[in-house]
Amino acid sequence: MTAQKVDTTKEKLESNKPLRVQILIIGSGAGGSTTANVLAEQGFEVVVLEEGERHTLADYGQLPTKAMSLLYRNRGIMPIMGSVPIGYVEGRTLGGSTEINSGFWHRLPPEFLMRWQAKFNLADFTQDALAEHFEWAEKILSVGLHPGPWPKSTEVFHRGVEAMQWSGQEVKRAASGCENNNTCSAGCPKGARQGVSLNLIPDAQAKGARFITGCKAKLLLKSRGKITGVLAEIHKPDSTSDLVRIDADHIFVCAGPTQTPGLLRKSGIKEHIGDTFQIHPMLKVSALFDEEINAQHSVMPLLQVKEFWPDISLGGSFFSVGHLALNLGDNWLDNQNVIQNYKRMATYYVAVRGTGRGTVRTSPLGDGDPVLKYELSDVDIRHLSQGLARLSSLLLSAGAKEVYPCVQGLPKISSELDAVRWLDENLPRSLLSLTTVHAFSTCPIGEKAEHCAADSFGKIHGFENLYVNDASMLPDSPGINPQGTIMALARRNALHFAELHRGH
Amino acid sequence: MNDPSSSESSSQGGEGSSVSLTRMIKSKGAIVAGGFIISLLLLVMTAQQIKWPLVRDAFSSATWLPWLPLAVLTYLIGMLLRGVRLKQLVSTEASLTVSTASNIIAVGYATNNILPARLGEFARAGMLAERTGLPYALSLTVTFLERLLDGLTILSLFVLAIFVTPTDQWLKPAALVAGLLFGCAMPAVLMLAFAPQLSLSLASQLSLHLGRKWHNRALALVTQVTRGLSCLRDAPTALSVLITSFFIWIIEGLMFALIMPCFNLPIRLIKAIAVMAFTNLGILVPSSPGYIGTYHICCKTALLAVTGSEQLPLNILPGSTPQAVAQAYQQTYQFSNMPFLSDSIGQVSDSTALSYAVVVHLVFYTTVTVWGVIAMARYGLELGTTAALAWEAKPITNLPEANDAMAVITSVPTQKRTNHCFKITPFWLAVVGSSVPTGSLAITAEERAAAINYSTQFVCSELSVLPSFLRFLLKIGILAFRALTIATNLCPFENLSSARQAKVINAWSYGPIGLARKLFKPLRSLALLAFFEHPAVVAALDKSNDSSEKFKSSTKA
Repeated sequence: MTAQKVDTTKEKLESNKPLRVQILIIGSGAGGSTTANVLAEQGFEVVVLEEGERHTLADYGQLPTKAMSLLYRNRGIMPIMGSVPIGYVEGRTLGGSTEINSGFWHRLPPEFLMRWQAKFNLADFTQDALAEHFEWAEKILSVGLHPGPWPKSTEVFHRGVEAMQWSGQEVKRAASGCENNNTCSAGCPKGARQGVSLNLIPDAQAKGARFITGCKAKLLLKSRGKITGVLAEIHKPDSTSDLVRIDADHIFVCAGPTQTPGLLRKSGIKEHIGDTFQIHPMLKVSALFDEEINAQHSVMPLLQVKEFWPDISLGGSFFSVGHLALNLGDNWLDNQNVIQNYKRMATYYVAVRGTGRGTVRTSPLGDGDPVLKYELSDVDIRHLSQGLARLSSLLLSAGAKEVYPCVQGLPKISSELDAVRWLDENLPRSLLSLTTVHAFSTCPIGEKAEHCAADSFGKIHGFENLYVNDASMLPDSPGINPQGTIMALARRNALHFAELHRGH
Repeated sequence: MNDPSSSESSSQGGEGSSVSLTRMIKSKGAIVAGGFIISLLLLVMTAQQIKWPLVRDAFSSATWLPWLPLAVLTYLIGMLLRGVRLKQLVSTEASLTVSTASNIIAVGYATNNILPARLGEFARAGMLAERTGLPYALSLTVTFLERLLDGLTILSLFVLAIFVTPTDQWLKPAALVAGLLFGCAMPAVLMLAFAPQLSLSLASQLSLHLGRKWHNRALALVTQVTRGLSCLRDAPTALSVLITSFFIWIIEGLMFALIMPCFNLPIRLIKAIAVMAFTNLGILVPSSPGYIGTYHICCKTALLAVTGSEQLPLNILPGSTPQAVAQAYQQTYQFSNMPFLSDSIGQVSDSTALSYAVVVHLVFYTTVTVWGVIAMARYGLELGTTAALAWEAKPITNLPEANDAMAVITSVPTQKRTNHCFKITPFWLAVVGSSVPTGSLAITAEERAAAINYSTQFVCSELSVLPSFLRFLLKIGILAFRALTIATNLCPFENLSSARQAKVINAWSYGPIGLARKLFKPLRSLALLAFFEHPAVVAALDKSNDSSEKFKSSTKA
């Protein structure tokens, strides 16, 4: 029944017949699929455009190098430019980044809730109001603690947390039935990690939503403060692409933190769009232990240290032999023999709540792809340096013999004395190798029109029928894995929309 | 591999051609009739001004050998070069030999010479689609791109030639207008080629208020054109296509120059290029098939203009020696104190100019028509089928109009994602090979080669999707790296010994120069990631782990 609906939409598009939909959603990630699910349930006619393809579980779990070309945007190459280039990745597949992330789940901490309310004047934005939306998402994604015993990489990290007597906790995940097969970043072939393609999307389809994959929105068509439709490019199996026009009454842009501002800016909508790009810069370290960790066969470390939160978080990172080599690559001449001991190694990270300034702009050349820029602040460098000192101390206390940070020219850290040096000194900015998987705040919501791109419920200022409902709407960096916050806010906004437009 | 629709149209060509021709004549009737009328008018005008005995004299005193065969040969070389350019233009989409490409172009030109309304352009697109399996829409866009490049090249050659060589005064404003056209067209072409998204946005904004039908048409046109121009986004291809275009039209100018001595005019390439450019710009107006009349009057006028007929009342008769003409010219011509003096031809009479135009036209017309007809015969195409192909190739500008609210605006071939601008070459294999460990792994030479090949493939495909400005910087960096390696080692990087390669790579990757380190950081990271993901490498690591464990336990024992 669902497949039939999808086909009907494609047929309509391909047969030159007019296509007008009530709700058009661009993007099927955490925000888009939540919006589709909620609005379909409320009885709206919903069509979702997804640039990536629909994959089955059989396609998941491949080598990272293969998964990058299959599931990641731009084959996993999305550098954020600045004085320190930062590697960034996001998903491009049905389900978006939820298909390739760790599944770590947090509720928006009350502190941030209040800060955002104060700074951006968000209406109806209380902990109580958001609680039901978090609960809804947690139920659908079966959010919970790791079902089995902790893997070794978590155990040693826990040992370090206890030795340092810091506050650390196992983070809940949307990964019921996790089998420790270490394939989160390549899509879980067991379907244990709950990407939204396993739950929200089929559920939305059952409620009548239609998903068109391989379809890239190229331009929003606007006329007098209203969006009349979308120009999109659909890739067809016969190696041709159709440029199609889809008219819609209401459009939700949920293409993610980089593509949402990109599409809006390409369409000439620029007021506070892409001006406040925020990330969580991460510095990775690899630790060598005496004991076998076998991180290549287990899920990433499940604990996070919140002792220094919200500025600094410490945790564990995805591990494979290739990624270990990449991390050791900054000082490969000195460290290349260490890779022989990969079974006794694991990778951890220092993540800081970015306080620098970033932008998303569209390139005037080519397909107008977003150009990402972020300049680390001095505070970010300070926090990264302190974070490295603390993470190294923790790992050494946990039994690590050597810690290898991703900083070019920085020797391995083998004593606490080497580590604590960075509590007072700053890491050399130009030698850092940083990455991030968390990006947001490119279309901040709030009632303060002088700062915000959209109102408290995601409606773009100055437009009657255009909304954002994904990571781009978070008004500021939340300092946590953002999927939970995105889904809760997306549901809240969708329900608000439904209430206003029911019966229209 | 052929497009089924194209095969179908080919097979039905005989039956469908009459229908297509009827449709064609109906829709293009006004243009066809207009073309014939213009040609006729120009022929009458020319005929009235001509002193026919002098034309007869010009032909009778003409020197045909070796100039005429040389001119034909030159034109044939030009056609082959056109084939080379077509091959370059479709190189990322389809494989095409130079001879097939030249045949396709000859068929197009021959059809233009036989059928009205420039149907040859459509026939050419149709045949290109049939021969390569490319969709018609893309073939037509490629044909459009060729014509666009021709137009721009001719315009620029015309402007250059006119300002370099002395001509009649009236040609200067014409050149200025041409220069202005070039100045306007070039940025538009560049924008369409390099900024497709911006072009689409602009087209959408400009046409939004014209109503849905015209908005859709504008978007379709821009999409098709930008898709066709996409091959120019690759700098080496763009450069080679541009250079070939200039060669094509300089060769065509040479053909014009080689016919000059037939009428005792000295060979002057620059002037011949000016005449060629003016003539080819002139035949853009509608005319009869083969541009009869239009071609002649344009060629004649241009020749008279570049030889300064208005400045000299002399009536140099055909048969005068070139030296005598040049000497007379030098004595009286107003540009006599200019360095271009040696470029002078001397005044040419109307009759000689017309005779010259007739011969140039004959060389062009006969050569390409014969070639085209032979090509049609070789590929089993009849004229009717060609017309049918031409018709089938036109839906790009004939979108269904019945339904204004249609969803699909246009369809274009998807750009192949496998078109990596960084390709696996010995250089990249060497770079990757020297970025990963050499002797420390228990791995066979074959396994290592396989892992390096896999890693190089990965590195090249990842680098190919870097944002365009980073890709550009990377290419410059790599160019500098290769040049410096040759300068310091007197040998290309890929030919150095493995040890030397590793030394060079390490010096750049971990040396004191920040820019060099930044250049090699992404290469090294990607190479290491892929190399250590390769199953053979992981197995080798496991093997060496096991043996070291065994060694440890045996030592303990």
